[in-house]
Amino acid sequence: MSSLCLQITDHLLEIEKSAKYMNKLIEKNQKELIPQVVTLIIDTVQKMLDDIVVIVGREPEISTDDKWNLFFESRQQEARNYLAALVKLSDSSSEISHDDTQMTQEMVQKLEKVLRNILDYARFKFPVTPKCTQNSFRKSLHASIENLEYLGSGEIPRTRGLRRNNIRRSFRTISRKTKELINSSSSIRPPSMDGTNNGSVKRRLVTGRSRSVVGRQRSNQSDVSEGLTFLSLNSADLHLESDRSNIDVRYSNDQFSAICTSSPAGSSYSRPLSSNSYSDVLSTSCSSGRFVGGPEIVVDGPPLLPEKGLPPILPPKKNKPLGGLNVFTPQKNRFSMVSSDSRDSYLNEKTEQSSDLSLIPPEIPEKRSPSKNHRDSGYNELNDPSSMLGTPDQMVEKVLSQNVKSDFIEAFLSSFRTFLPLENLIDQLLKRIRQADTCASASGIPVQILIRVVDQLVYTELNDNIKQKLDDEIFWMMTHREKNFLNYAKQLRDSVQRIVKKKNSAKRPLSMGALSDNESESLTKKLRNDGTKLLDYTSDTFAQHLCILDADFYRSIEPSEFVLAAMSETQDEQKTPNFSAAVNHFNSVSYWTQGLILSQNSPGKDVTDLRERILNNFFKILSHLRKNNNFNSYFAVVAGVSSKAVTRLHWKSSIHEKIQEFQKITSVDKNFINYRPVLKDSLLPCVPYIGIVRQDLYQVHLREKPMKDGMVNFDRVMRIHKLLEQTRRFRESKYDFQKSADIDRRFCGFQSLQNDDKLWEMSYLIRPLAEP
Amino acid sequence: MSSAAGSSTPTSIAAQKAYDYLFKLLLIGDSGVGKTCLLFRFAENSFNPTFISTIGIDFKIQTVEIDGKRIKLQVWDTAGQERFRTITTAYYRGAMGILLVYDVTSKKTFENITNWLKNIEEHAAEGVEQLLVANKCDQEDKRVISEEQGQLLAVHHGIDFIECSAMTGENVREAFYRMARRVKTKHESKESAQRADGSKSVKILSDPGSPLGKSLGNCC
Repeated sequence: MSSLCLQITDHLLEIEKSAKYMNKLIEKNQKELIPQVVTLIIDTVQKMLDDIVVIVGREPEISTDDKWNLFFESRQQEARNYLAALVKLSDSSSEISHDDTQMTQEMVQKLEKVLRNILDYARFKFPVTPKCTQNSFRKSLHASIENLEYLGSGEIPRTRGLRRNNIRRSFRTISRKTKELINSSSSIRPPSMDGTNNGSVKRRLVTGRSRSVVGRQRSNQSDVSEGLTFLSLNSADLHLESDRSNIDVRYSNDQFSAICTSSPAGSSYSRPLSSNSYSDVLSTSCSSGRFVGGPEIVVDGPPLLPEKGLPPILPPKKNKPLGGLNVFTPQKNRFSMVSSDSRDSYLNEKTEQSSDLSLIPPEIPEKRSPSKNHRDSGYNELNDPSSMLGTPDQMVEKVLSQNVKSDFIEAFLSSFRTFLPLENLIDQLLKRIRQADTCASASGIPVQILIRVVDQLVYTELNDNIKQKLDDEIFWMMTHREKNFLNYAKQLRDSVQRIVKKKNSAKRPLSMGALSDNESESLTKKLRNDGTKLLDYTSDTFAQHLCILDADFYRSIEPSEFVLAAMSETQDEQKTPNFSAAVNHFNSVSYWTQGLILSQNSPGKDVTDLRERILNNFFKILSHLRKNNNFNSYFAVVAGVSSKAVTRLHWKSSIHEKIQEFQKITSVDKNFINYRPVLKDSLLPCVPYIGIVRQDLYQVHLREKPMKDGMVNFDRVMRIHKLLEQTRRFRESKYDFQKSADIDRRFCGFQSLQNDDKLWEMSYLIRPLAEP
Repeated sequence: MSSAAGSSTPTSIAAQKAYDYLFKLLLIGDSGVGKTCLLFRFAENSFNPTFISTIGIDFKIQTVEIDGKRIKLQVWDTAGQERFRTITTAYYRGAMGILLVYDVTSKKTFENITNWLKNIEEHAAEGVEQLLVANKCDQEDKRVISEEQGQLLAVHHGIDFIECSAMTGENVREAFYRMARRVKTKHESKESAQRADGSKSVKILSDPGSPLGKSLGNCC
């Protein structure tokens, strides 16, 4: 359902832009261009109506709703009538009379009204539910295909002066590639560059949208991104071939959006771009600058690099989910967008002075990439404490002011929870959004900050109250169109949906209750078997498996969760679910290590040997963990092998020495003096021991008061920020290993006896307490 | 093992090191009982306010003077890592005195003292000095654990007891001094026993779990 709203919203945006463009043209008395604009509007409206039909057909809950169907059908008919009138008008003659323009304007307005009606009703009738968002990405892809095929099928409505064939060919190829992408289930085929071979694709006459959807396979993120990168590359080729075109690829971190726009040369309504501005478009839109200018330039080099992509218009979003709705929506690479660029550039050019028409939200400084070595720079830049002093409310004020440094924004976002309750901040931001003066260029800042705040929410923070407020705000932004907040509304909703999705898919943390005697008995048996099983795996494989697990756990922790974990005195596990899960994993691995060794407790020399072999295996695993910079599991396993219940057993002196050797780096002396420099110099991928992160934050939290004389303690803010920046670096860790399903299955999440008494009992069985 | 010589002649170390003894103490207890606050209060005159990102905040050393001996106290604080249960046991290693802290306004933290005591029994060196510390005694209106209850628990386990407040500073210094004095007494009696039987000291030092071996290994 959400995809419905989003797509309609996008269409509306397009129509609105076109209508504005038309008004401008009328003002300027450039009537010769009007038919083209009308064509554009007609096209958009048709696509929009068709999109609704497509989506309605696929959403069972919608298609069975009679009231909706009735409403929709009548509105649809209404829209089609206006549409027909428009078509007739634009067809009648190339010379448009004054009356005609007026009528056209009127029709467009009416159309817009009808369509908005549909959107509002849909929004009310089918509030966004997480269920709907699950497959939305795939759905958008399917919708794209159908749209593309539709366009390629010769159904392009009355596009005078356009090079239809070129466009059709492009769209058909893109459509084919998209389909391939969706159909490839687990691995995407290597992109072949023969995409321009138009002969291979049969022209399809798709008029209705009842066709069943091909390819129901799930596509994972890398597939999709790879495919879409290819898609955009491919259309770049097409564009080069088809004379004048441009491709616009935007990336932000994992997220990317590919907007393919083609701008046919002969199009008379696209106000011809000067050759300069044209190459500007090209060089900026081709993020890596691989091709500039004309068709003779060959695309070379690797696929677009995400880091070099255009900075996102809006605040960077971390961890954009697969289901991000604005990732790839059909209307973006549709023909109707073809001229939207020229239209937009026209609009911007003409309305520079009157900013009320500017639809592009002001950019806020892009967040610096945490992988760069800038850990101290932020502090220096903001080292003038006098300018940074303020009450919590004044801090909010500062963040919202226009000339604020990006470091300050980041520091604020990292630490506001320590001096301002989340809900309070959200309330303040909402208030600002409502008050925003649309004429001011900074009107978008509050909503941008709000989006960032929502992006960094720990899902447990999104309670019903906050959710309701945000939903209301999204609706308000969508309905108060004069504020030009539509894009923001979509982004905000994406963010909220992402958090909701996380919340719904969250597993309840396992509570490690006391085990009954029977349970612990069977667990001991299992551990005993696990010990021999462990020897079946190479230590390398096993360490790699742990690396993947740890990196996943680490990445799942929102940096703000570390702050919450440190601030909550009682260490409430519910508040910091991902952190708690990571802690539980750490303890599991640690206890499991002990349990594996100590459960080999039947008497006999063989068992003694077995214990030693298992222990030696752990030593090897430790070496691999160290080599792979996985300090989290390294700490866990060292804690296991060096636990007193293990070390009190009789071991060769060489074993004791080895344990001490491995312990060196984990030494707690001088606040981990051995470990910290090693971590600092470690290259990615690397997973730090998460206990220290919390400890450091906790100590800042305790040592520095959040407020001094009613002012926010800025020193504290910066310290928290710096600590969090350090943690962010490691979030980008990705190990190039395969998770072993076999290990996963065999060791069942490293289930072990998390009970010191039991472990000691086992230890005493091997070496009785009384034994000298 | 060069420290073995040092241990038998503490005065020679004192000449170079400006202290006679180095004792490692450990603060344990549930999170939120105010362990770190106690430490701040105790060490507030000496900690270095500069924040060194590679080390974190290192404020855990305080030198005290008892009976004419200068004693450097190295206080370990597990605050922030309580939930990493296998890591916290690493802190027990080498600790010569343990301050068990609970919060008089929280029943749960008091009840958990029994678990912490068991933990000490399992992980800490035998004969480690223990002191039960009731924190936040300034908050009379919120108090749920009376002084008598604390005293009773301490007597039951044969350990010392003190009530203090990190907030007001009441009894904080006393708590650490009392612990330092007890460790010193034990340490001195052990030393004299070692002097009487020189061969034994080598054996103790070879045991990595021994508080003596660990602490001396680190002081040089």
